Amino acid sequence: MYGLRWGVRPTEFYRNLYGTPVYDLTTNEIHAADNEEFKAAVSLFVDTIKEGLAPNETGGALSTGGFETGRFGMQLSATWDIATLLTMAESSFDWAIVMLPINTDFDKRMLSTFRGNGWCISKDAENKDVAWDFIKYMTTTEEAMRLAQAYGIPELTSYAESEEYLNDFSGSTATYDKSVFLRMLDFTTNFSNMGVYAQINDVIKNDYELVLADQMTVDEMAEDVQVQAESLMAMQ
Amino acid sequence: MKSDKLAHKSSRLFYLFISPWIIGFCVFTLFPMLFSLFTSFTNWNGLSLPEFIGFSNYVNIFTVDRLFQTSLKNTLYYVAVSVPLNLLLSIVLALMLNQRLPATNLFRAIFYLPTICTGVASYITWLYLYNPNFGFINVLLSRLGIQGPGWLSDINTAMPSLILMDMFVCGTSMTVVLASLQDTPKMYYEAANLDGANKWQQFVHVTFPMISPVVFFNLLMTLIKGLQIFTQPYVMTEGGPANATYVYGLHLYKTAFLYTRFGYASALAWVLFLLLIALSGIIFATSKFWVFYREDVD
Repeated sequence: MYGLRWGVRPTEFYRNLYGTPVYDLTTNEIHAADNEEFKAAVSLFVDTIKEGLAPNETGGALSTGGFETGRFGMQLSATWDIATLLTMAESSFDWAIVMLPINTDFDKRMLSTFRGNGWCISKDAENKDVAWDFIKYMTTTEEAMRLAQAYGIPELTSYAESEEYLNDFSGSTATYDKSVFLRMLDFTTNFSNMGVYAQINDVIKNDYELVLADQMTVDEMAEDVQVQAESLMAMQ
Repeated sequence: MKSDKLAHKSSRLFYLFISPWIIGFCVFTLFPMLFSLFTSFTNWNGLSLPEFIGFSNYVNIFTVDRLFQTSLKNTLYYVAVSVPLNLLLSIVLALMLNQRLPATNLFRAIFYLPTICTGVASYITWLYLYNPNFGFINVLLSRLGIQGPGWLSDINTAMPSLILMDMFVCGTSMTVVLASLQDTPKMYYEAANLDGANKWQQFVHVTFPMISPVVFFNLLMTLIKGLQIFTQPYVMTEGGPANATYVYGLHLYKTAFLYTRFGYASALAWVLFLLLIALSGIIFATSKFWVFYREDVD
């Protein structure tokens, strides 16, 4: 039994949990050694795992499911988890979704990572008009939005804020505050996991796992990330 | 003249029948190898045109790339432990199955079963078995009063866990050794008995020399397979924890498809290829001291 489940998200979230990212995607500057928010984020995950509040899910250890069976008091979940919860938990116990908490030291709310699906038309496509019509249908019609909500927030803002969407729970007897996801949109950060950023992410992840294994302190981790990331950036 | 025509027709038929393999080899093996050799001397990122940079990639591999050293060390550790264990286990199992005992065929099937049930699905199953908190192995150990290790989540036990998992998939090696055992003429054992040899001496002086060709084959195959290990760490650990299972294949994959450094990854691939050739050459060169072929013995 655990208090909460972080899942596999720590290695994404600590990159920019409070608004000061470890690396800036536009300027390519590295802010690790002097980044107190980064150190606080790492310490949050490490301390909760070491103190037994959350399971250690590094190295492939799985903790699939669990919230609906009472193994975890809380879990860090995403929009795509909701369908499972609606099916498995329903109203068997009281549950709710809340926004990520505020860190009182920084007076900042934790940021969630943000993902989106994109549509594109190849410049060599034979039927560009048809493709464009399809994209317009998928992104601007309520019919498509009803299908899209199974895995995320609908792109059409007017539909996402409508009573129909906010009160649609796919036939489940369970209800939850869907507006939480909409309000969290103001507290999100994007991320990259390609090219040199993928290399830097792997450096951070490796050092994070060393901290979990008590082979490195958080400060040493931050210093090492600073050095290695700057070296990787310089090689570009 | 007639024989020339026949020979000509024969050779045409030969090339006709071998052409599918030749075409397949050229398209799917030779061309990719040559292309990767070319890109290994460039900084190709898979999108823009490659730019020739000479031997820079190879120099960086041996002087700058820390992950190359880590991945090579991990891979050699995996090979150094798993290959001898695999060979030993396959020989032991084959010797046991070579006994004329009841239910031998059933055990043969049982030992071979994991070999055909391999793949991503089995690795996911092993993830559940290895779960330090809820996995079957640690639950069973706890019932016996033993505190189970962290398995894949512990830096010290992650690679041994992968090696242990690999031990279950020795069915092919075992079958090949078993076939060789059953092909060994009984007269050698009768002669050894007459000379007063005990079981161990019979194994050393009769059994092992007779199965040495297939042991040599298994050694080569498991070495090649071991050096190219990728799927298990990719699915189960992503190279962690803390790069404890970060193997060469994973480094090559990430360099190409995640870091988008296809030129550098091609150089890594060629370094692995040359390493494989070198190790295989050493094994071939030393084989004359311990591999005996039937025609040499007879």
